[in-house]
Amino acid sequence: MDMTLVIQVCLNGIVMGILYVLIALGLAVVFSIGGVFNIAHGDFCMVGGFFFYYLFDRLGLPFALALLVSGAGIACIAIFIEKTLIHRLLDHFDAMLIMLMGTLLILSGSALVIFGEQYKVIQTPFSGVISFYGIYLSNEKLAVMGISVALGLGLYFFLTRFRVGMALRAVGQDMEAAAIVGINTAQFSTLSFALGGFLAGIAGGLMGLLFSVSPYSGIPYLLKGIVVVIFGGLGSIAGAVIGGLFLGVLESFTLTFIGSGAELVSFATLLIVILLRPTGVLGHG
Amino acid sequence: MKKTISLIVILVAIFAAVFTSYAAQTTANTKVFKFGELMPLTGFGAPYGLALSRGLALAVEDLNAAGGIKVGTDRYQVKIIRYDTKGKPGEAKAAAERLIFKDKVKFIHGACLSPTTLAVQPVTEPNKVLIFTTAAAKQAYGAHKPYSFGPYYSVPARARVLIKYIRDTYPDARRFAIINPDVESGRTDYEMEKRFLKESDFEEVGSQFYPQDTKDFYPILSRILTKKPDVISLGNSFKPGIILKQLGELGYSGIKMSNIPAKANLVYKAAGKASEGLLISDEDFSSGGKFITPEKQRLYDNFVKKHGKKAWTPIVRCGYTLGQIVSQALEGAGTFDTTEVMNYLLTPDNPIHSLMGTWKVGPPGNRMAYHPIPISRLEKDKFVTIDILPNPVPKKLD
Repeated sequence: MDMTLVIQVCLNGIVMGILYVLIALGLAVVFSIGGVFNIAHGDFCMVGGFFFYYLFDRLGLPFALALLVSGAGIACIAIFIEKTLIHRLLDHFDAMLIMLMGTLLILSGSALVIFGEQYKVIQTPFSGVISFYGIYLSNEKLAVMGISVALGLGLYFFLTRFRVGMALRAVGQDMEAAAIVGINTAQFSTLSFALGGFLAGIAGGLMGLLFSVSPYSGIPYLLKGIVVVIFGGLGSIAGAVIGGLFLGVLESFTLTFIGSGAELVSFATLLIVILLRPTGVLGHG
Repeated sequence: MKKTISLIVILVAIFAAVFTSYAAQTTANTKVFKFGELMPLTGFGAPYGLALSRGLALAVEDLNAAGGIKVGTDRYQVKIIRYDTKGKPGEAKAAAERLIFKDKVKFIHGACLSPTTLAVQPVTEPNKVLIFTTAAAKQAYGAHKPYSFGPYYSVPARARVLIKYIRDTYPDARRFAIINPDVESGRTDYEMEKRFLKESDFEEVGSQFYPQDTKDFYPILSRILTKKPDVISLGNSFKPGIILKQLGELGYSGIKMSNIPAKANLVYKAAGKASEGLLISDEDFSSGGKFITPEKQRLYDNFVKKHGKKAWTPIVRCGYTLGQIVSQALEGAGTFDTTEVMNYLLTPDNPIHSLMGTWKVGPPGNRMAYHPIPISRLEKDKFVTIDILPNPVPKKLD
């Protein structure tokens, strides 16, 4: 087998994997802290992509500002949904699931009406390609990787080094105990949604930059996120990182050497992992 | 006073009666030819359908402004009855039934895409309704479907001429790869390109199909690039910009071609320099150049006035051309009988001239148009026409 190709395929997979990690981190944060499996997360990413498209490509805002505002915009939507709907249904799992499904449909339907059905291309600010020994990496991918890794590390330090972050984790680990020691758990649930929304907005923007934005991309994003978080262990942030990278590389190899059926391979692998280890690779029982 | 009011009422009544009878008479004298249209105006294929539809609408405006079309001894104003297929076969079939049975239409522009065209033909063919479609699928045409015409350049003809152009222009290029969406039109495109590669003495290397909704082309492109192709055809891909961007990022700088029209500014926006040099068999009137006649320029100007520069695509001229072809065929045949119009279109020496050149159809028994084919190259964000090549009718259908 051609080693250059193998390395190139790995590199392609790592870039995709890092983006999957970013999508999955948002899901994992909301689940591990807020206790909600947000099935509208993929559509948060999709709307984030459109926010970024309009802010950066159409309005000409600076790249970083457009990305941050997209993240903040989705965080605001997430807070609104959490405050008005989810908060009231925390003890009613079925109703919450239906409500989240409704949110998903409203977001995707609104995106179709507002943004139109056609995919939108974002002109990249990072032109140029780096090549070494026949392996190519575009500056754009490099930037996307850098931003994603920085965000992931930022999230890690926020959750482990800052009081608010540690309190968030405490709520996730044991909500009752956190409440007993004086933590306002309701506020922290909202904060977890905001954090998840922010990550979704950024992930959607970066995905849009690499591949274009489309109102139909919400469900595919959600499916990737689900595979990654279940593979890594529901609610485990480290698991999401491992799962995302694994899925990205696995898909890249499948698409390159088999052609199609990447999703089939991903879900088959997920099934095997669940059979062998129902809590996922790094999940707790 | 009462007398005056009565007089006014009587005068108004007389005036209304005269006016109504005059209006009714005028309506009766203005005959209308109903031209059906089945296009994806929303959903998948909408940019394509909208452009074709707008092109035909402009042709109809011109025809009506010139007094309509003369069929036999009467003149007819053309009225388009348009339905949105949304690119869905089910919707297309239902709309075709509405056009034929409710609106009593005998001529249809559409149903554009291969799946929608194949879905409407079981309704149009038995009812002898003439359809003019852009479907790429081979089974949409032939002697078994006598009332279905491909009025523009057939996709195979475009591919054959473009591949031959590359052969003649880049004699050192040998290795050729094709990528296509894994749908009927993509498969058809691949089969015909494969044949033309042999004819032009190219070696086919590393061809690939991808699921229609693919955005991440890096894996399949990485694999293709290991075969070191000199030429890559994007086949029937609807996202040329995204593919070219990713090709460029993987270091490819060879020859690129596409078999379907694309909007130059969008391709360039997506792929930047990586898209430059893309070859297509199409002509963009917005780019100017020596091949743009005053008639072509007028169509472009009229379109821009109506829909704006951004909405322009070379596909518009295909819709416009159809208006010219059908009106001349009806006038030439002197009847709305679809079988006679079909025969008129099939007769080799009948004069039909459009923006695309003189109408030629074939091969014998078939109903594909063979107009001269323009070759254009993407230079920055414009497709510049570099040549218009002959497109001889082949001995048998490609």
